Amino acid sequence: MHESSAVSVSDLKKTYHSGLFRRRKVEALQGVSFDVEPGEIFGLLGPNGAGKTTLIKVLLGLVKRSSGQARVLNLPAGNRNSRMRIGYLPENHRIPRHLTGNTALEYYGQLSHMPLREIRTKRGELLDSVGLSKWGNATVASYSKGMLQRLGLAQAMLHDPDLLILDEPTDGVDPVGRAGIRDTLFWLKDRGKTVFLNSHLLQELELVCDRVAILQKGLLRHVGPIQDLTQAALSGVTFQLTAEPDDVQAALNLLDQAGITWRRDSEDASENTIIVDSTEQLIIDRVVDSFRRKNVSISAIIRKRLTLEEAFLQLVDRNSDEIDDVRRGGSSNQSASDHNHAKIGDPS
Amino acid sequence: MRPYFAVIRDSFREAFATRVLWIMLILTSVLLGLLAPLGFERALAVSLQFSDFRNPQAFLKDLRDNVDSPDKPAGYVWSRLSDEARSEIETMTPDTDRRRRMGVLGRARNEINRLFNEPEFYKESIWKNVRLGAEANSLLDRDLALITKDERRRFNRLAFEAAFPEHIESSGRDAIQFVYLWYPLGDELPILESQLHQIGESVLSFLVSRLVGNIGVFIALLVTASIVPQMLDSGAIDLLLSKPVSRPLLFLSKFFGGCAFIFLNATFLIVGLWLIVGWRFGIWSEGLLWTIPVFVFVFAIYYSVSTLAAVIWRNAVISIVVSILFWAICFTVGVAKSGLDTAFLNGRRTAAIIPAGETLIRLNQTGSGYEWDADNREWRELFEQRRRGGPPGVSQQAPWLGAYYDTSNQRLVGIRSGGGSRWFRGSSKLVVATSDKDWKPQESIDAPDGARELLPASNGDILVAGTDGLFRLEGAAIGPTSAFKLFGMSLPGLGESARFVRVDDETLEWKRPFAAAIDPVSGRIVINAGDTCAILKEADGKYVVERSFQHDSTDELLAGFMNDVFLTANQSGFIHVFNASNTGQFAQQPPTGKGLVDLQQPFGNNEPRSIAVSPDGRWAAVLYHHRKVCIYDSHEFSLLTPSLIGQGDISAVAFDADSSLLAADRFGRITRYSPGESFAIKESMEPQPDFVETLYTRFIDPVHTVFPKPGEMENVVSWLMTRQQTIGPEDTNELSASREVISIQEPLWSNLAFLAAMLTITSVLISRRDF
Repeated sequence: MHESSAVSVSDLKKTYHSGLFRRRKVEALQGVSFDVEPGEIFGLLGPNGAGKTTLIKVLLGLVKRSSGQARVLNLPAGNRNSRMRIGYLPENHRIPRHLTGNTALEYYGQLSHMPLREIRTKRGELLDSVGLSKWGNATVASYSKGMLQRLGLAQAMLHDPDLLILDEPTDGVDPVGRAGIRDTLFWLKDRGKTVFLNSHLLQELELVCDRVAILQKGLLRHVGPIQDLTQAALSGVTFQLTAEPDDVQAALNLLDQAGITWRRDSEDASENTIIVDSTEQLIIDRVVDSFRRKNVSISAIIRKRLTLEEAFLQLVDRNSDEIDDVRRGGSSNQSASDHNHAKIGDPS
Repeated sequence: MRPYFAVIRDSFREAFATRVLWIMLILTSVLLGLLAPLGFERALAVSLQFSDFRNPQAFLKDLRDNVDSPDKPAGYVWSRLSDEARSEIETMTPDTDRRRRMGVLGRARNEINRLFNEPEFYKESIWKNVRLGAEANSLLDRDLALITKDERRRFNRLAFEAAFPEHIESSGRDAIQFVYLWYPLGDELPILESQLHQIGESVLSFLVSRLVGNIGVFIALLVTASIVPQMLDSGAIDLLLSKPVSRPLLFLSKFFGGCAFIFLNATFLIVGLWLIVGWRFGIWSEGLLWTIPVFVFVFAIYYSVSTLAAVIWRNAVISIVVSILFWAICFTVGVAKSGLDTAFLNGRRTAAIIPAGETLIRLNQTGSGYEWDADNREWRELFEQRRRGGPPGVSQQAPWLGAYYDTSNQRLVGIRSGGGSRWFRGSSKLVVATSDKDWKPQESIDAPDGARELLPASNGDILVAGTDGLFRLEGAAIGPTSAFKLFGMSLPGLGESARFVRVDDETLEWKRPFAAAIDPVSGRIVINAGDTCAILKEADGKYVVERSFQHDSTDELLAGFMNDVFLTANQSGFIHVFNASNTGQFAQQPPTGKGLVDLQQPFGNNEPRSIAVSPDGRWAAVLYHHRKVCIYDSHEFSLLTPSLIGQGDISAVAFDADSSLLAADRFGRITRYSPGESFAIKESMEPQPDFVETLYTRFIDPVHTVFPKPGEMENVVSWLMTRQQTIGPEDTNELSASREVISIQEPLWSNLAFLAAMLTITSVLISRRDF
């Protein structure tokens, strides 16, 4: 744990008990550890039931941790002073329908100990920044889903928090609105704010996040910059060749002799697209030499890089079996995902 | 506190936005609008009321018996009744059931009231032998042809009551006519405006308890049931708890937001009601305004249960169901306790203490008699209750009227009440018991009609005072050989010539409010009859008015007489002390010139129940219906409230022969105190409690004490409106009639403790819960 971190969790565990005499247990978090640095946009990924919302609720004190440590803004998670500096946008939040945009900001601002005068000074600009300037006097009941999200974002930013925890902020928001929210996130980052983002829209995260953490079934699978994830995942270099098949095969034989792993892009042996499962420059040079030695023309060399989504899916698929194996051998406890029967990519 | 005020403010914003508040305010406005035209006008008392009949049976019989005398008022009235009414009266027998008797009386009353409207009702020839009162004569002097129509009706009424003084109560001049807009509602009521205020406050107390206390609270619960479940909805609670607020305070803010919303509605209704009854009836009842916080408190109790259920189940419907279940449980516990009190325990309480020579006798509420057995420390039963006029323990009437020990003849003397309803009550019997007959009560002759007080004359005379005059028993109460058997039943015999003889000088108008007391030392009697207070002294076997004075009070009252001082305690709780000797300054100067002793209200508006005077004439103990005793010292002209054992639970007081004070509390404990300002305990006569008493005192009462009693907050409302800690019987305002003592503080504290416990539990639950 780092004292300077905006968020710091260490071996965090949360077990829910339910049923008669609380005998049924669900381990939502199983020893999660990571840090979020101040000023970064940090994304939290994971399939439904991975424990993302539980983790956020522990950070906010909505849920008590079972064990481990969690600190937010250098204060124990859930501490009232830390909440004073957090802006939170919950997933599927419900702003009371009797409020208007203006009165909602007054209400939540006052809950954050803001004087009414200050709220009234700030709310016009804030509503403008989320595209609701004309809707301040309209009741929330008349808002669309996207407008509600934007109002939720506005209330989270109202008291100028140091840390924003946003749970699915673009849920229900149209592409233009999403772009606006992205801009807002960058604007917050520029002002030194830390943003903790939970979203299942991986493209969105890829566009804005500095670092991500991937949770699966209560376990942390990865934490780091997105580039690390996309590069660390299965990747390689694709060679598009122009030559007689025999020449190509001769060149591939040379690769085999050199111990270089390769595969075709398809089952068709006549297909002249070869993928080498390495990105090391020495290997790439030797592959080029081998093709040229057998007069195989290289029409294109493409260094393959996975998208965050591909990397995430590969990581989750790969680890899913491992986790299940461990569980079958070690623990009889059910995981959160067992209950939710979630599919990756579904809204959570 | 800014966040929490924001939550409370939001409760109102929500109430306004969801139109619930508007709907409630509109409904309340409609209700107030409907009530606003209700008012009253001052009128002359004309109509005959049921309560005006002293003895309806005798009245109807009198009419029937004079069928052949149309030149007399009774025969004349009979002749003017319809055939149906006459037929009904003729067919009525003593066995006719009560409902039919009331029906017959009602028809006769209506027809007589119609007769009063006739200008020609009064005929001088028929009324020639009737002595009209001063008011009627003054109208007669003004010429009946010239007086107004209402004055003519009034005159007819006066003439009528003058013709039947033994059957019909004389009416006061003023009455109240209720009106709605300009339309009169029913007959005018022969009450004064001051009485209207008193009645109005009682009616308001009842209405406000039922309307706001029950229906209003239920509606309020329905309206507010969804507030906390909505707050706890996923998505809403996350947002709230992510803010830097305390969970318990957030919950409490929502809770008090709901209460504030109800407070606003209750205030609108009650203040509206207060303005209407103040404007229309002149009743500016401060107590009515105080009911607002009481009802919000009652609502808060139920709402605390509702919110706890909401936190557990997060469902408004379940919250309402749980609240109703809670109400049902409270109701059941209250009814169980009250039922046990009524059926088993109240009857055991001491109603009268009678020092009888060497022994001490106590009568309980059901009329059973007991003698103290000092050796075994128990009350030995002398005689059982005699079941007349209703089940044991629920009789509103004192079982014995003015029982005392006649030291001259060494006998217990009392009047056993007849039981039954006010208008068709069985006859009351004089009862005598002596030690040689093991104190078995022997019935003598019927007590005189209207008997109200049995006066213990020191010479052994049996004197009965009432609204028909002062009577003395002539002859032996019980004849030595007169017991006889009839159809195998042993019937007590009577003295051969026993009869009550009227011994007052018949100069007073004997009517209610009535009170009488005898000075144990001088034998003089003080009588209050209507607006006249008089001292009577014996002269040649008759009691003549020594002096009298008028007052303008219409309150029921009790009297006590000791040497030169007599005191009265009226139904408003005031004790007044008068000098019995100083004719010129009757009520102004006490004997020693210490100034007028007007002791005001020692226990607020609580009504007095009995006055006991010490044989030495120094002390008078005034027992109030809320079971507290104050003592007047006629030597020092001061009022004491000694710290007696069980003060607040005392059901009877008396003085022993040596002027020791005896006070009864619990179910059979009597404590004897030394006379004097310290009132030190001399002796405690307390039997071992039996199983029922032990069960009650060790289990039921403590459970009931700590159990929440939102229903009993009605008592607080009643107290706020009337400032009385007792609820009187509905069919009589006689001060001696037993009242239900209502507890003010106990429900307040137990409810407060319950409310605090519920809010604490809910706060803890909400603090520990994962959302």
